[in-house]
Amino acid sequence: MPFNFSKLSVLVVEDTEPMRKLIVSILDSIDVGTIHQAKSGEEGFRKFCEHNPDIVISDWDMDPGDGLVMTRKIRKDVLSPNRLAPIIFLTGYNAVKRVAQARDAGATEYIIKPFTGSDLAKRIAYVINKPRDYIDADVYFGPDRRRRDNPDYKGPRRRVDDSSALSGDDGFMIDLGNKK
Amino acid sequence: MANDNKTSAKKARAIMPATRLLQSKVGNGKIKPEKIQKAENKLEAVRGRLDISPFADEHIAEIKDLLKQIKKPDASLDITDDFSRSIMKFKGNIGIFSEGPLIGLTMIMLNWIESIEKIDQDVLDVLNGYYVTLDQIFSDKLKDPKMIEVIIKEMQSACERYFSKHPELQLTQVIDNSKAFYIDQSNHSDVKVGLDMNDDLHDDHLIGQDD
Repeated sequence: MPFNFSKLSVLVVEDTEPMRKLIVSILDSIDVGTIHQAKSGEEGFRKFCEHNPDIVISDWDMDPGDGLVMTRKIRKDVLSPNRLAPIIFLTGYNAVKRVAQARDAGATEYIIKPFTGSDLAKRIAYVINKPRDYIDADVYFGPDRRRRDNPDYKGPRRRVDDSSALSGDDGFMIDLGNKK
Repeated sequence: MANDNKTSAKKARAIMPATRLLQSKVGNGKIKPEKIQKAENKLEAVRGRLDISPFADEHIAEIKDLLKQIKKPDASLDITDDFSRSIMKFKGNIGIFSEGPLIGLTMIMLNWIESIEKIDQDVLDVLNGYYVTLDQIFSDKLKDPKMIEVIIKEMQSACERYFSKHPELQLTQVIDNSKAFYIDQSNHSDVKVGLDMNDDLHDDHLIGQDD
């Protein structure tokens, strides 16, 4: 079934008004049916609970409640109506350490400002086309952070308790081929 | 035994398989190129047409205040996070709403400040140079576009000189929007960021006419 975004609902959480309006107009141009708006992470979580949107697009730096705090609440709070909702971060940070922070908070995708209309539209299509498994662990709840599926991998199992291999901080598999 | 407990505490309690519920609601496949073009047109319609001086005034005031704080003897490295946040926000806004070389300056500065591991006089000099440059540009003391470009190049050189002087530091690893959101492990001292062959964002996967 081809895309029919008129049935899609998106929550845009962004504190800079011109940016928020622009994101809304881009979503409008690709015919997103319902667009909710919030100016902070705190308001964002409130609107999320109220409207239960299909996708959240969120800035990082906001007050009260930044994008990381809101993402953790969507993933973990008992009031959250859908802990599995895709969350797309839209931020000026482009350092890998920042992407890792967003990922570890439970973000699904990440777009760097400045972005293009195509960047935003493609990420929306991507999170719909490629839904991710979710991991429920003591230290993390969110999309599976392993993104690669290498059918050619013939090595040993890679969990710490599977072998003496090294592990990421959550015990998920890592790419030993990348280890020096 | 203690080690076993530590390991099991880190293990996933459950893996919830990906759900196709959203696809059953809104479909899947590709976005039509004409819709992408409409989205691009929305951006082009605002680029260069919004007065960015309110963003600049706020950013310059923040940098001025942070400069005062970072010069205090008890300033901690955490304050570089505040510089990062302010530069990041300014970069995002001017990159969307304005044209010209300023976006380049903010990108250089953001990547540089995100790499800093200690505060010294060289750091203060670069930050001060950044503040003076922005202040000159937005107070209209610096109007010649060629001169602005020269100063921006000088700021870039200042950042490069900083790294030459501190060879133990490395410029922070950055990504761009062509990359899927994918990092191999939490310890980013040894990360791989990139496109998975199965998880790419190439146009032919996401943009086109669905049959």
